[in-house]
Order: sequence, then structure tokens, then C-alpha cells
Amino acid sequence: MDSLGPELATYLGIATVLPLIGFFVELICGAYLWDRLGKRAALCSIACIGIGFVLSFTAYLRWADATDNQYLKNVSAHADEVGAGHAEESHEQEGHKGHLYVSDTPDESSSSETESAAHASPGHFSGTFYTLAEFGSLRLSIDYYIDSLTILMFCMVTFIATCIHIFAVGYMADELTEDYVDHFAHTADGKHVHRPGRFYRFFSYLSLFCFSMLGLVLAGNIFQVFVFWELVGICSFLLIGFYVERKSANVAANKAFIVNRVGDFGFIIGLMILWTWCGTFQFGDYEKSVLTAEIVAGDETAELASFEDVILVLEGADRGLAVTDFGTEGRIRLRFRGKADTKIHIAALDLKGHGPSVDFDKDGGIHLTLDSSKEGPTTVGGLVEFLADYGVANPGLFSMLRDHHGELTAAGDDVALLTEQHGDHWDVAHDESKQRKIPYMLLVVAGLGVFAGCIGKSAQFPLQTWLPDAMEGPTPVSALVHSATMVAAGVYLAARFFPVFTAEVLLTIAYVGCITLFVAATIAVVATDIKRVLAYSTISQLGYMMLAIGLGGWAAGLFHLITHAFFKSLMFLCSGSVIHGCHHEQEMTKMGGLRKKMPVTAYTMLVGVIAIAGLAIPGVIAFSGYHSKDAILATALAYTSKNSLHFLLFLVPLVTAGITAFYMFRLWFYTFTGKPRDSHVYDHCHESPSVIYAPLVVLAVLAAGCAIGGEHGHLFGMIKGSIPAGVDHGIASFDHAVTDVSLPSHHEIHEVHGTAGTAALLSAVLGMVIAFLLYCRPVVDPARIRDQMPGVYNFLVEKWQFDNLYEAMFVKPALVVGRWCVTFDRVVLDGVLHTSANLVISVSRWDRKFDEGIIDGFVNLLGTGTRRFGLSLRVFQTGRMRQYVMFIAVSVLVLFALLFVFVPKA
Amino acid sequence: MDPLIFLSLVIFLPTLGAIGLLAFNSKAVDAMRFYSLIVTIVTLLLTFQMWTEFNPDIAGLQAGGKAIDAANPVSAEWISGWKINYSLGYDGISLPLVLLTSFISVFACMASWSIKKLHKGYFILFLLLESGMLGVFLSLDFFLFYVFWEVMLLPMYFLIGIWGGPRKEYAAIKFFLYTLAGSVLMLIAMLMFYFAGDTFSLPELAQLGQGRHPSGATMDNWSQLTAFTLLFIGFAIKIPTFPFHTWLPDAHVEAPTPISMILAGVLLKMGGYGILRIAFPLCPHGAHVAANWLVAIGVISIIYGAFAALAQTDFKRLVAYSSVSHMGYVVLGMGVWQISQDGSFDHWSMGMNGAMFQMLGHGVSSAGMFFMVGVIYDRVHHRDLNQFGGLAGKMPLYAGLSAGLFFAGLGLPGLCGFIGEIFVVLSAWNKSAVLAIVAAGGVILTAGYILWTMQRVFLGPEYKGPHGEEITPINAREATVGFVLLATAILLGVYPSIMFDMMRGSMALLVESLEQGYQVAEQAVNGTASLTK
Repeated sequence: MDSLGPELATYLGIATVLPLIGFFVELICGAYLWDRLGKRAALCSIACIGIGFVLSFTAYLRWADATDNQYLKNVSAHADEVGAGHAEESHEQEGHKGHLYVSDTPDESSSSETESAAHASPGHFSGTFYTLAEFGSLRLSIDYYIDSLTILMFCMVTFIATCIHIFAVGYMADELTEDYVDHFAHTADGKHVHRPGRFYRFFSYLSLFCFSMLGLVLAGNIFQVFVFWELVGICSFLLIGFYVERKSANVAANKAFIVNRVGDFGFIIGLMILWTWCGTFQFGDYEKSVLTAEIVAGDETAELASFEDVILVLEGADRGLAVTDFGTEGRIRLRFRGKADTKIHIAALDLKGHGPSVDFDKDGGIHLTLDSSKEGPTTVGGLVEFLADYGVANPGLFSMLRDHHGELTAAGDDVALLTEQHGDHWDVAHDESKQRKIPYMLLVVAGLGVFAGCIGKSAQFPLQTWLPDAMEGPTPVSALVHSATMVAAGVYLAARFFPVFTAEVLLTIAYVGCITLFVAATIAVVATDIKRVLAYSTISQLGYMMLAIGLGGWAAGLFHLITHAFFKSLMFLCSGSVIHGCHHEQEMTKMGGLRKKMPVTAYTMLVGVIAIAGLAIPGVIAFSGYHSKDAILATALAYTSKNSLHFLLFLVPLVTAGITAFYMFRLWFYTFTGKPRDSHVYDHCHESPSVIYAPLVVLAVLAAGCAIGGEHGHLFGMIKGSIPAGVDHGIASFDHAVTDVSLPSHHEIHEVHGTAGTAALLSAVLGMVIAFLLYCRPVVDPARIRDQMPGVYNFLVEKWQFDNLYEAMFVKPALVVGRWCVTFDRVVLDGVLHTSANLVISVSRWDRKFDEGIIDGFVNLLGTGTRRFGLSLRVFQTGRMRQYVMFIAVSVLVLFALLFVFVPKA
Repeated sequence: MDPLIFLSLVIFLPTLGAIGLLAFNSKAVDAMRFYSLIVTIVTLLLTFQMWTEFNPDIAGLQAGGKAIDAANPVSAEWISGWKINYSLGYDGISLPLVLLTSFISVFACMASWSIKKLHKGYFILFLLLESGMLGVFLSLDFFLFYVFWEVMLLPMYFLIGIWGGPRKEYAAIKFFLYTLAGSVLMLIAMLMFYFAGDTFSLPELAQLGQGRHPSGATMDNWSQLTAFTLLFIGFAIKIPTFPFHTWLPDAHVEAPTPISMILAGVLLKMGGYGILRIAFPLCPHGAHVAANWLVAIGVISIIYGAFAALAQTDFKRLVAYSSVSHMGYVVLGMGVWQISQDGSFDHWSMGMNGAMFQMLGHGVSSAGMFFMVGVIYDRVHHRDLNQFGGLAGKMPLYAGLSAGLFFAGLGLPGLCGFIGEIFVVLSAWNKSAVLAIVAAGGVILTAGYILWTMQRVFLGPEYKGPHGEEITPINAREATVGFVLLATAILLGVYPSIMFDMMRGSMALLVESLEQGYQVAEQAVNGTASLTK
């Protein structure tokens, strides 16, 4: 039993990595080695995902085996059966001599094999594949978290992906050419774009997507979810924009990614809060760095007393990373930071008079002399285990926030974080100084943040606008990425993260789901592009799932996720078959009467339509969608009867159930019945080859039958095996919550199940009948209704104006701000620079003028003056003696004359 | 080999190579190219040797696998009158950057095939530049550091000014003056420290700043703050952060491709390295006081750079602004100095490590992006984003490799850009919730400008600009450069601990000693305060 966790992790890990290998092989070989016209890439891709399915199914069987098929009896798989048990690492370490070493072993050797589990939430395995980085007590790693939901998701994803891969071999066959003519991309001179086919690339992208999606499901921490979240996003980008020559495809791809990033912005905020306050991203409990202690004592059997106030001073870790001392209640906990395999010598061990006395030997080792006069529980050999067990068990997010009743623990106005382990459950640290908590409002914001990510990925209101545009991608992509798997990831995460969500967050989730399911359904009513109808329907159905999760119908939401995956991928593939048959015509206004031309497609599609509409003859036959939608509506009814203020949360989905039936049957009648509206399309239309319709049949069978037994069936039981603690009993709001709502218990939901089911069925039948009367046996012409209400019609056709609104509110302002920044750079910053540069230049000019004009001028003046003076003196210097004598004589005369005039007489 | 001689060899091998180039005939262009390439490759191998010798258990400075201390000084007297020594060494902070330098140099050298004139002078300057950069990362003497800092400046000036684009003179002088202004500030700070501590030795000055200098000499808190401000502005110009960034777009646009790669890949990291090696350890108190400003400057750079990138029409200018944005994360990560919930400094430590990783990741991805811009520029001779399109069809391998590198810039998980960015952002809330939220908003803008650029360049039905007939698939040399850079980006993104293992110890020591240094300074303040009472 102990090895089950690693075994499952191996199966699912390989199933995840195979498509990644496939991606590289297909991309590189497809481009350089393989024949462009051959289908090897597809085979490789199918093999990878097919083996992935086999592995997932094996994991499922092992799980079923291990849990003794408990879920068949509709009992949640409880922890004692699985996941208990710790790695047996330290047993062989007895009987050495001499020294006590405490060393820090690498995570992968122990924690990946250590299923922390039992106490936290029932029935899961968690562990680590490898560590990305570790900073003190903070650690980011690639983990796994496996419970029945994980396994179920793996089976669903790999199975549907395999079907879709096979379908795509037929659908994408026109790419198997050296000269593909793209009729939707035009060059400037109006010609179609010619390019080589890109069959291999399509399959390599699909493989990359499968890897990312499976990684997301397997993820053992929320950070890892984010990693794969982004990766599925980029795969979606690549696949939507597969026809890179088409502008519409590029724009749609960008839009999908950027709108998702808006959600991810919230996601990151959530991550930041949790990281700052909780210090971990792990879902399940884990051991951060497990210690192995190597104890060697001369004295074999002495017993150990209780340890109090143990202070260990550790040296030898050159980096000074050893953190010391914990120790109350007879435990030693050692925490180390540092690199694996570093031996840390204990330089001083002060036990304050308790327990063993210690002396040190010269090479840094410690001799323990055990005091057998004091009583204690463990022997020397036991001490090893003792240390190892108490290594560093750490609660994951779920155990940290919720106690074993699924309730938050108050600490003043805040939520206490449970970090102290008592037997099989976690508790608040009793040492006041070590108590940790998170302000309730921050927990709310964190939940809303992570949910914002889900809003983006699952195309919920108000970020739903990208999904219809994503239909630019090839139809298999729409079926796989944009209906069955990736868009459901938001719901999956909301479910996975349920224990972190507070009442306010859940209420938000419920309302977002409620608004989404209604808005999308109304737009689907007027859409005429067959894929877009399905896209809006997907959004609407995802809204149902979100609603369920927000209302505490955890299992119901996931139930719908699985059933929806089957019937919606079926319908997308059917629409793909229609599009393929009609030579890439997607407008329903040009179809009609196709039932006769493509019967297999038509009737498999009908199975999907009935499933999604939730039609059934209760007690006789019911397709999957009936069960799951019933479960959701029952939850909603139970919820609104407890919280009557929120009655819309039942009413809107009930009405929308009718709208759903209406637009789905409208689609079917429009496409497959009546008279052909465009004879050209009809005449050239044909049933698709078997490689295309075989997957349809397989999926149709599952869409009809996967939920057999409803809430007593296998599927639902499997989901319930992973239900978070307390959900079944209903969870009351936290004391300090802003909203006062309480979630219904399983029992309360069960009581109203019949009522809700009947109402839903009536609503659906009504929708179907109206569709029949409008589109199959027209009593009223739909065009007349449209003409009578042009305002409403245009509002719906314009998709409630969201696109225009966002364009005006965000896209254009961002560009404007960008331009401001550039202008600021150019005018202000460079302006300052240029001004100062010019200033320096002009100062130097002045300087030059000053130099040349004044200083040089003065000097020159002096120079020239002297020179001129000298020159002027030259006239006198004649060299003639007589003249000199005359000068002297005259001078003497003048001097005497002056003397006579000026010198006063005595 | 004696560590001092070995490290000197690492630094000066490119210089020796440059001297060797003098013997070449100016017409033997290919010979000079391959010769220079071999010199850079040998230098890379020598730095790998440093890596194998590196002992991650030694948190402090080391050389040749042994810690540098009084008993093992890797140093020689240089100008004894001024107590200037030629001391070298490295730790977990400088080693990754040394590796980055020698790594990027090899591929920048391979990209230098596109240089079309004065080959001999170009390669001589190129190799001198590499010596200068390695010297900066390896010197442990402030004066020596300063000398290398300046040594690297001159070749860069000429490389931009001679081999650059149409406005090369403007860009070169702008680059030169900006950096010189920073150098002057650094010089003042250096003299402040010299007169306070009577030494240029960085480890000793760090002890001085952290209040544990053997002589008991200290620096008062105001001088610390002044010195920190001077140093920070000096290094911030190099990083560059808002508002000192406007030299970068001009320098990049005008610089030839390989020089852009060096500039973005290595030179900008010197600013970050300077902060980690000098500004922080020498003035912990000043750094602590300024930490809020650092965070704010980092966040402004992130958002401002991203917005500015959104509005660009010049391909290279866009990548340059993306550098401003990405380097903002580096400053942000360093500034998140705040106690975590559990009383440790784990979040700050994460921010510092993330900042370091961001430098490495950005070094690889931005060098790659600039290279890719260069590849298309060599063919069509323009960079107008509105005149591209359809390259995915005409140059599929080029488009694929570029997409990978641009995704690395976008911060896609599994590629190097993601780790640094997300680590920094995750650690930021602990410091300031508001700024952390603003920083996180960068992810939307980044996605916006990168994807929009890719759409305009690679996607669409056809190429719209001039010289369409010149577009040929990338050749083997170009593909090698792109491929190796992308592979490195993937390696760092998938297995980041290869770098974290190297720097963890030194970073932890740095964080710890900074905090201690700050505490000492605080106690000094409180002590005098209580005395005056």
C-alpha cells in the first residue's frame, strides 16, 4: 500500500511527459525528416496520448483496487485505506558507534516517496518530482497531488484527446499537401495564400497541449498549476492561430491569450497573498526537507528522557544556514536550510539538564551518554525514528486553512493558520509566539484573485469574450481545448482550491457562474455560425459548473464537467464533420436537411443535443447531461431555500435550462432538418469518412452513458471520493464573514432533488418544443420575431457590446498611455538631457567668448600695447650721437623748467 | 595553477587575443572571425573551469575552490602608496554573471559575421570589451573595479560610434556621457569610502559598512545614505531604470546586432551586479532606508517600460524598452527588504535570488531577441514593425526560434524569463502590497506588446515591406546561435536550480550580513539617542 502513491505518480507522470516528448519528435522530425505528405506525426501523437490513456486507466484500476471499490458503495475513500504510511527510511540506521550526525537529505529521496496524507484530506497522495528553488523555509517545486479526481480527469482528458486526435487525422488531411490553398487568407492583390501543408505541426501543438493539460491536472501545488495554466494558454494561442496567414485567427489568438492574462493578473495577486502569509503553495501536507539522523551510541538500550528547551548550535555549514532550536512537549524538531548531502556537525548541544549528557570529541562529533535514570518513551534506535518523524512535517494549504471539519479557525478577527500537528489533524500552534494567521479579508482577496484566473480560463463573465473568437482555430482544437479540457481547467481549479475559498468568494463564484450561463445562452440563441453556437453553449455550461461549485455543490459541478466534456466534444466533432462535409461552410443559414446526407453525424449530434438539453424519460432512459444538470439544479434549489435572498441563483439557471434546450435544438433543426437553404452547399455535401465518424460514435456512447446511475453511479462516486472535508455536511460561514450564507448539506440537496429535476425537465421540454415550432415545423417565422425586436436582437448579436466596450475601455487607453510614455521620454527626459547638453555647449561658447574676448583680449591688448609702445619708441632710436645729445640737453632743460615751476621755494 | 594567475588569464585572454589580431592581414576577414570566435570559446571554457572549481559550500568569496581570507589572499600589490591591490575572486553572485558574459560573448561573436567593415578594429575592440566585462565581475578591489568599468566603456563607445546605424554618433556619445556621469558618482562614493576605511578592498569596505571592521572604523548613517544614493544612481543608469533609461533605446537602435546582444545581455547586468556587490554590502543602512525607493523605481520601470514598448514601431526600440521593463524586476527584487511572517528574511532572500535569476534569464532572452531582430534586419534593412508580416511562412525556422525567445521574454513558464519575474513578484507583496499588484499588472502589458509584435512580424498572409526578395531562410550559423540561446532559455526555465544552487549560499550570506549590518547601524543610532537622553 505504501508504494501505491509513487506507483500512481509514475503512471501519471509518464502519461504527462509522453506527449511532451511527442511534441519535440513531431516538430523536429516533421519538419526535417519525415515526408510532409505522410501521417507519421499523427501516428506518433496518437501513440503518445493513447499510451497516456492506457497508463491513466491503469492508474484508475490500481486506485479502484486499492480503495476496494469503496466508491461503488458510494462511500468516500477514506484516508486510512490509502495514503497513510511514511517512508521507512531510518530503520537500518541502528547499531553504529560513536557520533550523532544530523544531515539533511535531498527531497527527492524521501519526500517524493513519502505520502503525507492521512490526516489532511482523505484519500490523496502527494509528493515531489523535483525542486525548482528553495529559500529558507520557502520552497517551490514540481509536485503531484493524486486523488480520485486527478485520476478521473486523466482518464477523461486522455480518452477524449485520443478520440479527437483520431478525428483530426481525417479532418486535417487536407494539410497533407505541398500546396495548401487557404481560402480565408488573401494577399494584397486579392489572391488566396498558397503554402505548404502543416499537418505535422498541428499534431505537435496538440501533443504540447496534452502535456500541459495533464501537467495542470497532476499539479501538486498552486504555483505549478499556474505554470501549466500559462502553458495551456500558449498552446491555445498556437492552436487558435494555427492558420497564421489569417488575420482573424491571429487577432483571436492574441485576444485569447491577453484576456487570459487579465485573469492571470488576479491569479498572481492570489498567489502573492498566499505565498506571503501561508508560505507554501502545496495542496497536500508535505515534508520540506526530511532529516535523517544518524545516531551511534555506545550504550545500546538506554532510554531517553523528554527533551525540553533543547538548544542545538550547529556549525560546519559554512553558509551559516542551519537554523536551530525547536522543542517542546518532548519533541525535537530540527530545521535546516542548506544543500543536500551537507553533513552538519553539532558543535554544542545544551539539553539544560534533561536527557542525555553530552561531551564532544575533537573531530566535532558528539558522544551521547544517555541517562537511564530518567524515563522516556524511546530507545536509542527509536530516537532515530523520532527525529525523522518529526523532521519537518508541514501542512499544505488545505490543512493549514481548514480543520478536519472543513471549518476555518478564528484567531481574533483573523483566520488562524494550522501548523501544529496532533496525531491525525492539524491545530493552531499553542505557543503564542509561533501562532500564524492571515487576515480574513486577505484570504477573501486571495480567493477572488485565484478565481479571477479561473474566470479567464473558463471564459466566465466578464472575460468570456475570447472564447467565441477562439473558434477561428481548427475544429478539433475547439473540441479538445475550447470545450472539453482547457476551458474546464478553470472549473477544475475552482474545485481543487475549494478549501481556500471563503463564503464571499463562493458567493462571487456562484453569481459569476449565474450571470455567465444566462448571458452566453442568450447570445447563443441568435448566433448563426454553428461553431459559435457551440462556443456560447460551452461558456454557458461552464457557468453552470461554476455556479454549482459556488453553491457548495462541489461534486455536482465536477460531475457536469465530466459529462459536458463528453457531450460537448462530441458536438464539436459533429460540427467539424458537418464543416468538413460542407467544405468549410460554417454558417447554419446555408445548411438544412443535412440529415439525409450525413446520417451518422446527424444522429450522433442528436445524442449530444439531448444530453446537453437534459431531456430524459425519468426512470427509463436518461443521458449524462440530465443527471449532472439535475444535480446542479438540486443544489441550487437547496441553497436558495436556505438562503432565500439569493433566489435568482436557482431561477436563472432553471430558465436557462430551457434556453439551452431551445438553442441546441435550434441548431440541430437548422442544420439537419427542413429544406436545404443553399443548394450549392447541399449538393456538394457528403458524409465524412470513417476516421472522422468513428470517434463520433464512441463519444456518443459515452455522452449518453457515462453518467449511468446518476448520483448512485460509478462516476459520481469516483468524484465524491475527493470531496473536501465538510462539504457533505454543509459548511457555515466563518464568524467574521461579511456575507452570511450557509451551504446546503448532501442530505438537504437530496431532499429537493425530485422537485428540481422535474422543474428542469419541464423547462427543457418547453425549450425544445419552442425550437421545434420555430425551426422544424415553423408555426411562426423566426425572422418576424427578430424584426419585431430589433433592439434586443442587435444587442445580442453584438454580444452584449462587451467587445466594443473593452476595446474602448482598455485596449485603446493602453495604447494611448504607451504613446504618452514615449512622448515623455522624448520630450521630458531627453528634453532635460538635450537642454542640459545644450546648456553645457552654450556655457562653453560663452566660455570661449570670455576666453577669446576678455582674457585673451586683455592679454593681447597688453601685448599689442607694449609692442606698439616699443614700436613708437623706435623712432627715437636712430643711432645718431648728435640727436641723442640733443635729446639729453632738451630733457635736462625741461626738467629744470619743471623744477622751477613745481617745487616750492624755500 | 595559482588562482590569481588563473583568474587573470580568464580576464586577459581576450586581450591577448586582441593583440594577436594585430598580426592578421586586414583582408583575411574569415580568419579573423574564426580566430576571435576561438578566443571567446576558450574563454568560455576557462570560465567553465571556474565553475567546476567552484565550491558552493563556501558562501563568501573564493578562488580555486578555496575561500579567500587573510590566509589565502588572491591579491597582489599594485599601487601600494594608495593601498590599491590587484585582487580577484568570485562567489555565487559573480560566477553566474561571469558565465553569462563568456557565454553571450561567444554567440555575439558568432553574430559578428554581419559586420561589414573594418573587421580587424571591430574584433580587437570586441575582445577588449570582453576583458573589461570579465574584469568588472571578478575584481574585488574597488579601484580595480572602477578601472575595468571604465575600460569596458571605451570599446563600447567606438563599437557603437563606428559600426552603428545612421545616428551612431548621437547614440554613442549619449551612452558614453550617461555612463560617465554614473562613473563620476561612483568615483565620489569610492573616495568617501577610501577616506573612511583607508582601503579599496571591497570585502574590507563591506565590513566597514556593516560595522564589523577590525579597526572599529565605521561610517555614519548619513554618509552611508549619501554613498548609497551616489552608488545607486551610478548603477541605476547602467541597469537602466526609469528615469535614467533614455540612453538605452538609442544605443540599441544604433548599435550593430552583436553589440546590442552584449549590451542587453551583459552590460545592463553590471548595474545590478554593482548594487549587489558594492552598493548593498558597503552601505546596508543606506540600502535599508532606500529600499522603499528601490521597490518603487523597480515597479515604475516595469510598467513604464512595458507601456513604452507597446507604442513602438521600431522593432529594436521595442526590444530595448522591454529590457527596461524586465530590468525593473531586478531592482524590485533587490528592494523587498522586509521581515517575513515567520520572522525570517526568506521572502527578501527569494526576491534577491529572483533578481539575480532575472538578470541571467534576461541576459539570455534579450540577447536572443536582439539577435533575431538583427537576422531580419540583415535581410531587409529596416525595422519598421508595420512593414513586416508573413515571416512565419517565409522563414519557418527563424520564426519558430524567435517565437521561443520572445516567449521567454514574455515570461512563459518553462522558459527563463518566467522564473525571475514570478519569484520577484511573489516576494514583493511582503514589502508592499500596492506596488506588488502594480508589478503583477506588468504581465498583461508584456503579453500585449510581445504578442502584438509577433503578430505584426511573423504572422499574416504576406510580407509587406521593402526588399521582400532578399528574405532567405536563416543559415546554419544563425540557426546555431538562435538554437543554443533558446535551449539555454529552456534549460534555465525548466531546471532553475542549476543557477540557484550556485548562488544560494552567497545570497543567503549577503542577506544575513546586510541585515546584521543594518541592525548594527540602528543600534548605533539608538545608542547615541539614549545617551543624549
